[in-house]
Amino acid sequence: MDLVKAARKGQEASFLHLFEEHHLPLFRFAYRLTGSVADAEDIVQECFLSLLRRECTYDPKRTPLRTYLFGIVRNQSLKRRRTSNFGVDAVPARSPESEILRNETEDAVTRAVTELPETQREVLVLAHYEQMPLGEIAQILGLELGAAKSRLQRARASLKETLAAYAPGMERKR
Amino acid sequence: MNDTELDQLLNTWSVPPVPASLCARVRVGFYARPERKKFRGLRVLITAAGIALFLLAVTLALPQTLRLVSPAVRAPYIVDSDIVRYGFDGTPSVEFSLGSYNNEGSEVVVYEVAHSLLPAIKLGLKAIGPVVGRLTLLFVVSHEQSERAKLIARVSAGGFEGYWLGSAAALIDSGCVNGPVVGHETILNHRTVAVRQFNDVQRMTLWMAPDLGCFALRLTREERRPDGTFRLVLKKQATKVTLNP
Repeated sequence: MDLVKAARKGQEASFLHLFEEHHLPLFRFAYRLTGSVADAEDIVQECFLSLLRRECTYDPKRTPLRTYLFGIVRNQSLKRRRTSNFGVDAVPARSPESEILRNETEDAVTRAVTELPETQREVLVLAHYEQMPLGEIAQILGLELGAAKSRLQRARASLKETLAAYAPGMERKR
Repeated sequence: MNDTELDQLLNTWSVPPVPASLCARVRVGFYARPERKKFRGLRVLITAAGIALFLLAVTLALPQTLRLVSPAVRAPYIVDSDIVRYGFDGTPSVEFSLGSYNNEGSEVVVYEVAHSLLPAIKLGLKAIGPVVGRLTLLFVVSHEQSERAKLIARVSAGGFEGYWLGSAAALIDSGCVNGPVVGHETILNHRTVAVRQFNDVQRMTLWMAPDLGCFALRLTREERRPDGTFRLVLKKQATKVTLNP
């Protein structure tokens, strides 16, 4: 039986199965779009609960569930970003000194990605961090395949420029 | 910087662990969602009851005005009947329930309930149908309607289906015999004469009661098969006769 249908009928086990299967990548995606653990948590919760609502338009014949859920997370993130300022939660400090440089690089990467235009950032996050094929990315974002591809190329080109100083072998120059 | 180097840099951006509270919040949300299904039937019932009350109110209010315009006719009796339709495999299904009487040979339907409606609405209408019908009968059937109905004998088979039986006066005068007589039978304590009418494609048998103005207490319509045998298509069967309702 379809898990979504079973969950809508009140079967908790089916609902939890769906949650277990999808919540991690959805949380990662939401976090990387909003930069906030609290927002990402809210968004993922809303995403799963929206599946149970009567007005939910999910149709398994038209869209794979993963694509549909990522689409919800993306829309919710956009909604939140319009009403609040984007800010990355404080990264927990790592005590060993060997981690200091890594922290610095990570912060730079975080900043560089979050400063990308929104249209480029969402494509980059899905393609690089979620390893999603461009066809599915285009479906989630409601784009033509070509548009998704060019956004990704622009995002990567921009990041190469911004992060040039952090490229391997460039440590001494910083 | 090449693509591999960029990928290595991007990979340094880690995501904090998923808060433990997320699963708990989602579970709470799962149980807190509105249970629409449980109340859907109840909502339909409430709506049906509302419609029924509205119909009752209109029937009680409006017909009194009509009565001032034209004198009402009181039915001498009401026959409750079921209209049953048969599928090609012979499966019967009750299509309509009627309440009607014959006004000098022609049938006047005072209520009709379609059984193909949603079950809840069907139940509501079935409960209120006879009540509304009888109220309508008391107030709405005008003298003019009554006079018009006398001209041609007509028997109703529910919905828009009905059969003309020729002159109403001739039917009454002949003692309900307007075709070959195929039998006599007492139905619901009323003596009937069974008359058959047929053409090339179908035949119809009517069990008409002379003491009820030739009301057909039973009617069957059969279609002729290519091999000459007949298949029962429709049956109207009286279930109750109420005198002086």
